[in-house]
Amino acid sequence: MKNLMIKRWAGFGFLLAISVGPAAAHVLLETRQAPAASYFKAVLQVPHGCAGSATTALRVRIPAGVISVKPQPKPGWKLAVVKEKLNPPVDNGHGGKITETVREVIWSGGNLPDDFFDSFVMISRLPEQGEVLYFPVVQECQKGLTRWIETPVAGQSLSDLKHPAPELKLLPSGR
Amino acid sequence: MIIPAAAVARLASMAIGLMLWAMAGTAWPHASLLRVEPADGVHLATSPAQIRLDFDEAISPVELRVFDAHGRNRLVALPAVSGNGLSAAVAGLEPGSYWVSWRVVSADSHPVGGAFTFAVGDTTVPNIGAALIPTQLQTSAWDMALTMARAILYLTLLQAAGAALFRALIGQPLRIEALWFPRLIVGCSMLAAAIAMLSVGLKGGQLLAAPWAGLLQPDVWAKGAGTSFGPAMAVVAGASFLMAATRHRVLPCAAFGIMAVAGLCLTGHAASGPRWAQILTFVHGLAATFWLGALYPLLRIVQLDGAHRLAVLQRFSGMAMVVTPVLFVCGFAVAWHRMDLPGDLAATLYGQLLTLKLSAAGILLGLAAINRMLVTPALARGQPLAAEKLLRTIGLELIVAATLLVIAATLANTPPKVPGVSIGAASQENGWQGERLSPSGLALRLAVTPAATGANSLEVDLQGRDGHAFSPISVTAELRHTGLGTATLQRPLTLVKPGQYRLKKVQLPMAGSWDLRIVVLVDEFVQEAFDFGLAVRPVQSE
Repeated sequence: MKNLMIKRWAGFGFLLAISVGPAAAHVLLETRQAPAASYFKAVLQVPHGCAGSATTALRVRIPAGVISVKPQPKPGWKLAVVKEKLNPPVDNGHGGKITETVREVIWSGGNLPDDFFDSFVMISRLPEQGEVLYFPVVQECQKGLTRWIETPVAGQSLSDLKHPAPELKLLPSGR
Repeated sequence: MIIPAAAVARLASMAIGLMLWAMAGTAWPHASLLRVEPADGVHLATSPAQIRLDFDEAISPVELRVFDAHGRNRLVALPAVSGNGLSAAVAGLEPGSYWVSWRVVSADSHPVGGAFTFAVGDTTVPNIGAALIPTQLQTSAWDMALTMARAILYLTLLQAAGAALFRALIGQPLRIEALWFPRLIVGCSMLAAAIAMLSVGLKGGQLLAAPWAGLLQPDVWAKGAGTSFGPAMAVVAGASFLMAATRHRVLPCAAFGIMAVAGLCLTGHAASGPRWAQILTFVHGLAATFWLGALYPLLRIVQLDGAHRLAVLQRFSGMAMVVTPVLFVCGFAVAWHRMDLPGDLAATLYGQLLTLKLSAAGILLGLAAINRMLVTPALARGQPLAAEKLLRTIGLELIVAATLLVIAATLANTPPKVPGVSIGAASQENGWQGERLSPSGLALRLAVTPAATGANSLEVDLQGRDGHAFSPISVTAELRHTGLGTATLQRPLTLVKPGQYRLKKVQLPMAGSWDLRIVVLVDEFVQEAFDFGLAVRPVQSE
């Protein structure tokens, strides 16, 4: 009985550790792959500030093709979205048309000290086609800012980049 | 108090779990550099005794090297760590510039690296022997080919359009029927059209730095056509064809000639400046077309048509009195806008070429004045040999005009604002130039002057997909010596004017090949990187 408890807890700890993923000194998505054309809960993890300075704002550029974006409000942070017209409008899947989409999500006015971590959440609908989507992030701090906007070019991998944009792999749609 | 074993185990496993989670999820920030000694970019009177770097947290060194002009590491002791600092002694450094390359591992075992430079003593004294890898100064064959194509295009197009204008403005009003006009127009305009089309491929080859065989690949042509050069050359070639097609119809032919000249102003420096400068460039080009394009027809008429020559000369002379001032005023205004006059005239390659062009224009003006004030009146008085004299001066004008157009073509392929090189001097310092096109259509032109060891300046010209000057949020240069595998030096470029960025006095102490990356922050979330291989040649000791 005792052994079982120990195993269970140790197993839980281990699972927790690997579920969070490898060396996350970068701003990353918690889940890094999702089926195309699905609703996706994007959880952006901010593991540290800008060279020791506390994070005060996080701005996310929504990649083209990602629609129906709804960010989750956070206590202590102001939340705003920047919208743009969709040309041409796209189907909303329920017989209507979507003419406007969120281009940028901004959490601001907060204070996330360098010693703590936090996540920023939004839901969205992923496009039907594509391989990789990038969610470039501008992290603003009390002193300075960090742009997580680099994307790999041919022959480069994410680990070659200093400040990679959070990446999401699109899997074949379930349908 | 007895703590149950199960509780201990649970707490321990939770602690381990949390620790793993913390390591994986919330990793520490990387070490950041607070201060270096000597300061980055500083110019010291005498050699420093040591190199010192201070970080915001404990680090362990991976690499610390101080390169001199010969690519030798000048540290005399192993780097020592004390607290958050890293230091190492250097030997008495002779005058010259030095490159410090560093890499450290911070507490989260994440490697961090960078570079900085400093100079010692009088760096104007060349301090390099033959010790280093000799490097060839890279002059792009594509650049040469483009300049030659542009020169031929200017000569043929101006002659075709100039002949058409001459026929419309002077020939027809005086009822001169000359059978050679259509032949001249067809020959020149067809050649102009062919060269204009070929230029698109040459431009693509230059942008992609392709081998010559690239001219056979559609990709290369597509790249060339994708810049402002593509539509411009389409207009030039199309209008030239139409000129050839309408060679027997005076007014349409002249109109297509004007259109072809306008096409030239849709690309190059004219297209990257403000609209008024583009219009002035067009007026300047049109005036030049009228003036220079008239020389050959004048020569033919003076030679062949004794009955009309005096009337033709007088009519041309009268019109030139209006056109020539317009030509010069527009030319000066555009030059004034592109350069810091008069200082740049001597200080930049563009300025030096412009000075040459102005000298040629001055000679032309002098010859024209002789024709107007001396030779034509002599012809009117019926003086013997006046016609022969006239033929000689017009012939001379033709030669000077052709030279001037070749200089103008070279100017068009020279960035206006690259400081400080002398042409024709024994030790030619042309600097280095490169051009790249990003997948999104952003064109970047980079000039490094003098691309020799020591202090260099970087000049970046950016052109958007629409062919206009593009000013991003920021432009940063990243430099590292390829052969020595140094860490990377980052420097921001400063905005000079829209689409133009400059980095003054960056020290490149070691000769050889360098990796040079220009990072353009297009908007808050998008950056584009342009990679160049730069050859820095050693400055020979005297």
